Amino acid sequence: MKQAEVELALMEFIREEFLWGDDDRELTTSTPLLEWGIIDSLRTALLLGHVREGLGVFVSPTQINSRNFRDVTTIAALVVAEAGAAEATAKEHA
Amino acid sequence: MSPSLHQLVIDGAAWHPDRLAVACGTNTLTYRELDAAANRFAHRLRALGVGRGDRVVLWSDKSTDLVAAMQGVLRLGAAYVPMDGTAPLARVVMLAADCGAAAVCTDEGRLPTVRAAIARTAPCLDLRGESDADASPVNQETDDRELAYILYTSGSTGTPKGVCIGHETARAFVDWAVRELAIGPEDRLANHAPLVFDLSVLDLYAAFATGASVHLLPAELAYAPVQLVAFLHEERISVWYSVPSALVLMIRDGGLLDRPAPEALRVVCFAGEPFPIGGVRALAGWTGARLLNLYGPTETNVCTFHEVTPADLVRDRPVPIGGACSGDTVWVRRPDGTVAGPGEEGELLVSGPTVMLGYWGAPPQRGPYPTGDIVRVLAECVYDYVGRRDHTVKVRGHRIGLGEVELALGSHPDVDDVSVVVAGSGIEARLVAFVVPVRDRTPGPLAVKSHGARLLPSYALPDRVHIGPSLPRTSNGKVDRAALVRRHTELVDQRAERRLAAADTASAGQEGRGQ
Repeated sequence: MKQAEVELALMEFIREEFLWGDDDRELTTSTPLLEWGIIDSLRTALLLGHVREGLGVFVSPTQINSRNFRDVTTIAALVVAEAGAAEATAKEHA
Repeated sequence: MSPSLHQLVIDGAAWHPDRLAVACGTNTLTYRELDAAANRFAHRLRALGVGRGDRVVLWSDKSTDLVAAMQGVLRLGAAYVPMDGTAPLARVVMLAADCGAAAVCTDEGRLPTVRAAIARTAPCLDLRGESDADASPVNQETDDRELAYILYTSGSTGTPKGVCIGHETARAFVDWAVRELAIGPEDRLANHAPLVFDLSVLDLYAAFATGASVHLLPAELAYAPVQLVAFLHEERISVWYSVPSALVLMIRDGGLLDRPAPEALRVVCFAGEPFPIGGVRALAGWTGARLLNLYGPTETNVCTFHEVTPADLVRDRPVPIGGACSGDTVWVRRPDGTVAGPGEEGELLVSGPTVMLGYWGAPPQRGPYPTGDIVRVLAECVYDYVGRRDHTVKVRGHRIGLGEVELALGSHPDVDDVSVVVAGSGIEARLVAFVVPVRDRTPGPLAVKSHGARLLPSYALPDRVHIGPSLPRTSNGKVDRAALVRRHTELVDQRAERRLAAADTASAGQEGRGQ
């Protein structure tokens, strides 16, 4: 799973679901999502649901904090790391 | 004189030092540990000059350190002013100035920013105490009407109001809750609400009053349905208290009803907004736990309650808010000033021990508190909630003054005029802003929203910002809010149609390629 692909998928979801399509293209990968109120606790949950169903990655609750959810780049890095960790565990059990 | 609010943990540490007091994730404190941490924090604050009668701002995500800090502040005879971890810095600075804070305490990560913004007016302190600090007992006695904490709420006039709660005010509510819910040392209470929200007073202090434990849910998980259900089971929660929205989410998206109700669960309380009856029916069919609807604005904490009965479940409306509790007296005033009788509607008034001392910086509250809530008298002393009489709204239990949101968004230099309405209800309720830009300027919706985020708590931010040339007015010149709600619905429908059309085109394209 590549960082750039995850960023793209997250951008698309956030634009469509939380920013009404973002017609003015205001969102960037470094837009502070929590600070600007683009995501809150309810939307974090929706975003996590999308990551689980759309990307097949389960983000552990211990990783859900304001540092990891700062912007699209940090969330994508978290998703990539969680996917990598899941893969490593799967290999160990194989 | 009744004992102070902080006496609860001090007594708890004497009577059952090794029982669990508070847990947040893997961090836990026994009563002994909480007591020592509170003393250490009190000493550190005292070294900064904080003492009886002062206010101390606590700005942080939920943690066991934060709970210890609250107790430390009280032990000095000072009052704490909690600020949510998601609150913007500008709001913290503004409210610290408003209440004349003697110190601002925050977690390590935020400390440099807070120092830079505030150090000239108040000292700043890291919430995480040094473990070698003095832990000798600190226990300032307080008078009944002495301030214990200030909870800032959104005001309908545009500026936040600090609701001042005294030691006896808080104790009157806690004592009632402990008695009514029969809280005991074996109980494990969930803390779902943010600590700025008065629901948390029950979770924390009903536990501390009885040697029970309180289990903090971080804000990030407060609306994560699967995690909430897991928390309920894994933490073996016996007393749950939250806004109905959280329970609705757990039922709808968290699979709450798919598993048998946890054996430990014996009380479910909800408050802050009407609970759609379908959700109450679902809960009643799932668990034998007592279900209680608690009612009361921050200014009075819980002043009426109603325990759900089978008869309530056949009504097609939310359960009643019930009758008076916490030693309070409540009655309903008709528009002509007389007391309403059965079948009539009017504004609910409250007098009694849980009524606030007053708003910070305003004259003390005298006489009954008018709630601004319109209720219907069902029978002698039993009430149904009807709605609000002013421009305050409830979104997921948070009271929001639309005027405050409009003021914040309107302070953007490119905004000429703005009106905010609520679209939808219950869990689907959303704040929607209509913005008229200054001539020749084109602020983007996100620019307007991020401007608001610098001043407002996150729950008061609009979900959607529409930019348009003008606001519809009624014949008397007021903004036509009903027309704005209709306009929003139209725009939502139009967008849904466009998305549907786009999806059709995309799938037609894929089929084309597949052939």
